[in-house]
Amino acid sequence: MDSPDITRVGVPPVSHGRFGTGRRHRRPSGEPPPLPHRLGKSGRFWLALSVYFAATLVGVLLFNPLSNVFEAVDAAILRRFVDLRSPAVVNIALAMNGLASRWTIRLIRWSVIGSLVIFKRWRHLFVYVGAVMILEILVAGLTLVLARARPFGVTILGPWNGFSMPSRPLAELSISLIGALYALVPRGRIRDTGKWILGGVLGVLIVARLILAIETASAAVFGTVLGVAIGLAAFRMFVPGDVFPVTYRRGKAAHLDVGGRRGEAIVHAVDDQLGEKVIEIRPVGLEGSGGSTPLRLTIQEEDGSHRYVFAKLYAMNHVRADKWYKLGRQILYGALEDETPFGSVRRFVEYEDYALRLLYDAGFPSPEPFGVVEITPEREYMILMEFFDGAVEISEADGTPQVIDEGLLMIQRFWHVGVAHRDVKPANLMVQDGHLKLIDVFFVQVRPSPWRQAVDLANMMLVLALRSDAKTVYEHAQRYFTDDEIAEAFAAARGVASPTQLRSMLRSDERDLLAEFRSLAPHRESIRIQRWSIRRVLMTAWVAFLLFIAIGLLVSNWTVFS
Amino acid sequence: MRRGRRVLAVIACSAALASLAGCANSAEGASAPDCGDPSNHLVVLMAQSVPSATLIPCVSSMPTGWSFTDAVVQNNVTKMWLSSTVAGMNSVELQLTPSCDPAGAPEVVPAPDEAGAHVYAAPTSLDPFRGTRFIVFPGGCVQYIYRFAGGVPATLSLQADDAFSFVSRTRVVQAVRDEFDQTLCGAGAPPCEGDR
Repeated sequence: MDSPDITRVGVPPVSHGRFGTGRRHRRPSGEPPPLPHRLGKSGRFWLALSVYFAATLVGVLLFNPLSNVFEAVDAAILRRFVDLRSPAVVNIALAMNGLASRWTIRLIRWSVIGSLVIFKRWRHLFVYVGAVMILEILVAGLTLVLARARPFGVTILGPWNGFSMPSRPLAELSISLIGALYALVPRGRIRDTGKWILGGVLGVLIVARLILAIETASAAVFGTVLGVAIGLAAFRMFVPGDVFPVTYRRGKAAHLDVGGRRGEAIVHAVDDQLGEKVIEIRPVGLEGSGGSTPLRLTIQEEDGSHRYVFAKLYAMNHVRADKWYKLGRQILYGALEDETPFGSVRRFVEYEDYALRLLYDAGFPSPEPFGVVEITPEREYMILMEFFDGAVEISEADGTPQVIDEGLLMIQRFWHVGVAHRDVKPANLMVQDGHLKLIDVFFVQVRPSPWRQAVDLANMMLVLALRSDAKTVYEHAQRYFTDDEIAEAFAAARGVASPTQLRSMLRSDERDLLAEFRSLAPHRESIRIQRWSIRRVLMTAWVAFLLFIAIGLLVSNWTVFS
Repeated sequence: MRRGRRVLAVIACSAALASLAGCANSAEGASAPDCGDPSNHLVVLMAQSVPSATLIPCVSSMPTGWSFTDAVVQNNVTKMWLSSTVAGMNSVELQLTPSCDPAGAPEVVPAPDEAGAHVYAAPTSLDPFRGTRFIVFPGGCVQYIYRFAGGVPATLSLQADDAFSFVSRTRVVQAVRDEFDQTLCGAGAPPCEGDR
């Protein structure tokens, strides 16, 4: 076999050396970051109310004399509303109180659930159902702990059930409505208007229930605050609008909205931290990327010309997604590789920057790294790199002998350097001017297992064969690898070994490329990818236990929906 | 060490959630209304449930093999359940309502704690034992509804009857006055505000 030149792969990278040369601005202590983390006015309002009620509760529970003062104040407020009673007012109040009936709440909840199912917005659905469950459990627990009777000294005119604080119907109605607003209504003017309407409805309902003396003001407001606060917290934490916007257009979930405040922050951050002027931000390649928000930044040069830079925006949800992904892999396959999740966005982006520099320095045709900018400290960072202008995904390019050789040589060089890409798929292989380029190096691993090295080879051969044929690719591969090595690659390429995009493209291809390669290579028994350990058993048992609890909660609390 | 604590915290939270899930399905899940404590929060709530009732049912002593299961207290009706290791889950239901119709059930001699009330008892089946005991008093009615498992003797109902007793409304009104400095509306109390 010839000894190929593995010191070069395709077109050797040439540093453009022109990025980040402008004047930079160091953010002095005390100056806010480009995109400060803000709770928002409504968030602060509800948080303050929640803290007020928590403090009041602790005070009332721990200091008995305080509870009498509390009762007296509540009774005085209630009497003011009871004084408003007249036959007409009571009838109107009773009609209004119908809004808090179990049937109204059921109707709202099932409408939301139905809509979310129709629009296949599963994440919003889980958060909605989960938030409602948590609220129900919390309210049930609180009413028992506080065991507060219905109002004294006044005749109660409306229907009631159980202890009064916090108000269960108001808590249930408010979380159902706020959930509907955040799960179904796109962010913007309509949702803002909806918030005002929601506030108005809940306000009127509280007044009606006070006139009927169903509960005291503190119980009514506490229930409402609890419902809104839990709803807001759940939606903002698990389906933040920036990351999971409510739209009625199709799109990938992990992508951040890069307009508005974030767009401005990106422009300022790149200007301050890298000294470059961004004049346009455009999301690109969203279909192939689920783990970050890929962007094309247009940079204005000093001479007035423009150039493109590729950027990836990372936030906490990407770190969480990485954790879940690794957890799932460990349960399904065991510790195949290093499955330690990243602890923060900073480490996430630092690792990608390192991987980019490693490959670039080693001479791979990967993007030149341009550094990292901080958008929101510890929450959002953006990594910048060279943009392969005019490049197309390999699945849209011709599978020329040049491209096939460059792909195989790339793998051989990975083996030589001692790294694995671990995500070889069409979306990460670009062709620019007839040469192969490698992008998305986040999964790169140093000193990978022999299994992973073999998998990289198999995946590359499969990608190349998609645009040509198995026989041609196999013949080219024989120039760089022994038959045994190729046989090992296809013995290793099973299940999780191939990225989802590659698997789906193989499925939609009329040929059975995997079988063709296996028939061309010498026979070799499949390499087992199941790794059993005590850790995997315990972790699986723990996850099964949590799932059992979750299902138990769902079943035992099903009455909140039925 | 930190990791261990975190794991423990997760286990504790999961256990707490699991235990809460059990009671979340119950309407109240409160502990039994104790006859010895007229300011017991559940007793007070039951008094609010039927403001006209001059007697409020409560649990005096629980016979061996019996346990208080649950209570649902709402306007105009209160329900409580007792379970027995022999007679079965929720084998005795207590209902407090402003009035009731004994529907021709024969009147029987009231127990000592039912003095002043008219008591009617009407077994509808002996095996499995089914029947209702009506205790009618000014402003209210309490029914003990027995639903025993098959083969359980009807005499076990006497044990359940012993578990329940009554506290007079005036004692509850006084307890609310003493503890909260408030007026419990209804029988035995001055007229309340906001009557239509």
